[in-house]
Amino acid sequence: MVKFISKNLYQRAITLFFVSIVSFLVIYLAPGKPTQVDPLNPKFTPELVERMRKEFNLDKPIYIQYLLFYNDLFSGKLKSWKDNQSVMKKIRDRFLNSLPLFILGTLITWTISFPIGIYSAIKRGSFVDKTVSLLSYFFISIPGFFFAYILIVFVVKVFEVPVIGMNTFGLEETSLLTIFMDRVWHLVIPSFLGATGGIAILSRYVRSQMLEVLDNEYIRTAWAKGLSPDEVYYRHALRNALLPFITMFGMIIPGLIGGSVIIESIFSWPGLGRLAYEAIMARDYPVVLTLNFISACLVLLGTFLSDILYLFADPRIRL
Amino acid sequence: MEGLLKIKGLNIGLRGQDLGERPSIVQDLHLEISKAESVCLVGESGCGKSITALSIMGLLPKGLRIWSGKILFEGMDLLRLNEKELRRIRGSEISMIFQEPMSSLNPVLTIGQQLREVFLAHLKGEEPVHKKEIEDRCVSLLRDVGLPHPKDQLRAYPHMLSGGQRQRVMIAMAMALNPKLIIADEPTTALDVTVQLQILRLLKGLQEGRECSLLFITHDLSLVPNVGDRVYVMYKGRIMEEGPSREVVSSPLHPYTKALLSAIVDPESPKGIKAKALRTKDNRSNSVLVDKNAKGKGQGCRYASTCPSVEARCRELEPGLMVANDRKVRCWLHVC
Amino acid sequence: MRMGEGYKLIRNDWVGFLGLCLFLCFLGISVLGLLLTRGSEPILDPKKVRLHEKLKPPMCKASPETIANEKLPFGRFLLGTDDLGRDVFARMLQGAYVSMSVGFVSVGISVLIGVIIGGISGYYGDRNIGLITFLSLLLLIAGIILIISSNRSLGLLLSCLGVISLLLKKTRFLKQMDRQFIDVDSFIMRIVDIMLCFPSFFLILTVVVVLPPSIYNIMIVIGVTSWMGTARFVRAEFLALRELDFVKAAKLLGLSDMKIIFVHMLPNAIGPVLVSATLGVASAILVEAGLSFLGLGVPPPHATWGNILSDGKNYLFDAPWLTFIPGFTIMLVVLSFNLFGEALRDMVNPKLKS
Repeated sequence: MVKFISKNLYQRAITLFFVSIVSFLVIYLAPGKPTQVDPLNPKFTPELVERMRKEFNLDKPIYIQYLLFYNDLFSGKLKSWKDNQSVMKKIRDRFLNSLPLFILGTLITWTISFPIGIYSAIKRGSFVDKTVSLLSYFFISIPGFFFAYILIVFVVKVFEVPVIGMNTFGLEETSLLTIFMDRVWHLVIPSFLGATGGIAILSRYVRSQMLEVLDNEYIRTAWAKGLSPDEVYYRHALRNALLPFITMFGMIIPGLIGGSVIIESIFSWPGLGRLAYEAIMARDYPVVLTLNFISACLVLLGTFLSDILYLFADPRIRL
Repeated sequence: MEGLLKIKGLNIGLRGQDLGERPSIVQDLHLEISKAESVCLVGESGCGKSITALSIMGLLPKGLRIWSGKILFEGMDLLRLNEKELRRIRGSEISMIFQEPMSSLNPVLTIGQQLREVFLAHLKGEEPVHKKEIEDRCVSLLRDVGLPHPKDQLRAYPHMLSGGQRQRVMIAMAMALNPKLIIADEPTTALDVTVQLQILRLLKGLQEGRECSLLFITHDLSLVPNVGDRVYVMYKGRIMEEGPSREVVSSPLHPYTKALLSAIVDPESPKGIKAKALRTKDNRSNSVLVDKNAKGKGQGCRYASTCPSVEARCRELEPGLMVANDRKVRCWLHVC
Repeated sequence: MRMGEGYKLIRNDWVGFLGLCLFLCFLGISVLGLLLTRGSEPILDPKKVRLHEKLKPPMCKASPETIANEKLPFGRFLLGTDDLGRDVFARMLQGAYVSMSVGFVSVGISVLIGVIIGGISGYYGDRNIGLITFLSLLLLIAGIILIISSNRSLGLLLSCLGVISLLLKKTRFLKQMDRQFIDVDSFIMRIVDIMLCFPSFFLILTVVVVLPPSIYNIMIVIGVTSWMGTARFVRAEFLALRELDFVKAAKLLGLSDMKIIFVHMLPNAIGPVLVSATLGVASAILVEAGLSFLGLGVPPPHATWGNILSDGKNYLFDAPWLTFIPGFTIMLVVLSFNLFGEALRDMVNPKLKS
């Protein structure tokens, strides 16, 4: 067991190392250096460019840059090129903003998808199943930004609820309850938006897994023993059908960064996704690379957790 | 001998099939099993024998439908019962053993859990259920089916056991509540030859010991005299021959029965090779053989296209079941 | 053989058939659109700015001066005009071609890469890469990188070392040290793992920003970042197929590896690849729309559905058709691909035959 864990971690560490190299190279080898003289911007004099190059170590050979960069990253001294703030601080602030959106969205998605998927599988071909399937297809196919606007128009016209941003400007003096409710309102629509797509995809996957399991011979044995439908579906089928989702569970962790760029853009939510977008547009490479690195760490962490959990869940895999 | 199970006029076809045609899976099946009797149902893959068994249990796959018929169990028509009543009977009065021991047990539950739930599903509400008592019964069941270290096996998972051992567990689950009828659908086909004999002996021994009835389904006619008192030979959904096992095997009446037997007895003869092709391994009990010749037309005997003794009248009209003493056969050759 | 089955299944599964029909419609419309809007004097002009006609709703009549100058179908703007008076119908047609080509080309690229990598991994998987081979490849790649990043001398040195050791690895000296290091399969899977660590939209965004904006760059980027799924499928299928007797028989007959892979194994493995490709087109279209929406797609004034929607979002309440028309169209097209892909999946999956 310990051997398995250590071997696993060791392999992931190597992967992480290579990821750090590859992401570094992608940025630095791409055409269009950040310090190219911008003909439209009068501030970019050649002397300024030279000074920036020195300050950001861009005149050193690439492997030195690599070492210096990651040294700064790990020690927290890395500075953003856009506004010279500490990268880690920027990320931390935005992270706290993204977190409630992410948690709420994930919670809604996972708690609703399973009952829907299971029910659709059990009552395969029924009206509910067909309706749910149709709806799922719609939500998978609809572009996120389009659906967002539909929701915004709908909610603003019908409920007259504030939608953009994290909270309404000017409410700081009112009672705690109002502030809280305001926050909640602002949180609801973006999480709902993120959740619908997720529910559509996840519930279909749950359904197909359940169907596959229900086709198995041991389910027929369970019926032949005279077990009730509840026992057959929930004790026999579900436990087998859920196994792949343990793997998926580990993979939601990386979604914290990657999933929300468009949603945060539309709702002007100051979160990590928006930070990434702004940094990319501004060619703020330290921020981009740091986010990339963190995202890779999350992916590897997520898959590692999945492996461990799977070990406990499936009795066929024992070390 | 008292009748325990009586199947009368069972017709099973595909859902959505035209009612004017012949039902494509099982036609007008009659089958009887008496108390403490062991009956064999023999036929090649796709002849409908597994479907017949599943219809007794009320577990027909979704694409099939029962068109007509009665399945009388102790006088009660099983086809008229609702799901709840059927559930009460399954596992406790009629139980079933399937062909593939490797996939018939749930891989994520222990043997003990799967054994215990048979008791728990049927005993609740009747007597206060003691955990210890159930444990003891499980252990003794595993011992009866010949599993070593039964106490430890309760905590084992199916993948830790061999095919033969898993089949023993299946038999234990089937025997748990002393059912009146056990249906065994090709229980030995997926096992090694050496293990096959052991399982057969076990099954037969338990059946005789507990005086329950056994419906043994197989494609291998050679097993029949060891297991069954009587045998039904089935071909493409029809019973072709019926009688006491030893007599049918020693002096078969129907050409198909003869073909099955000669394939076993003399594999070298040219007819044997042809007949050998009939003895295909039943891999999936859901495989359905749709007789392409029988769509709508074709009123003749089902075996006519392959029969070595076929005559003109065989293709025109299907023979009825002719009775002679305790033998029955569906063949024009045996009409006086 | 399979075609008769496929035909029957499509007839039973009308939803998938509907998806296929919509897909063919879309194909037809995009080709038609290209023909109608290309060139400098197109039949339907997506570029022409008519400020006096701006923000007209769909199916409204064009003003007399416009009708005098150009020919419009029924004398109307079928889908209205945008904030610069441009014909939305013409722009949608132009955008159709963009969406289609981005979808198909990027999926084509990703399938190509995926099949090659997955095939190598699945077929040659248990061949081993020696330590020396690995190290020399590493040296070579590092050298090339250094050369690109204008560190010429060191780069040149390393690459030469790499090449030399590759050439010499068969000699007695190095051969001893050329121990078993890593399987081809494990090696390729590691590369796939590394690629999977990058969140895909993020990566696409990054690369698109640093490259000059053009439709070809977008196609290549999407293609190069989404081959991993296909590679996994192909690898899994090849691993299974390799053990089957007909492959062993082919080998014994002395057929060349290429022939075995392309003639015998690939046709059997194509099922999941087709499904993945169909769903991939849907996904590529969504990604392209997203990029256009963020302003990073095909540059203006070329119309894509994403940037029509993006332009329209400022007029959400005044001219909702600017948002809704492209939005619904994207949804319909993606939906048809998804439906067709799912139907394909059911057709190809042997286990789901009811």
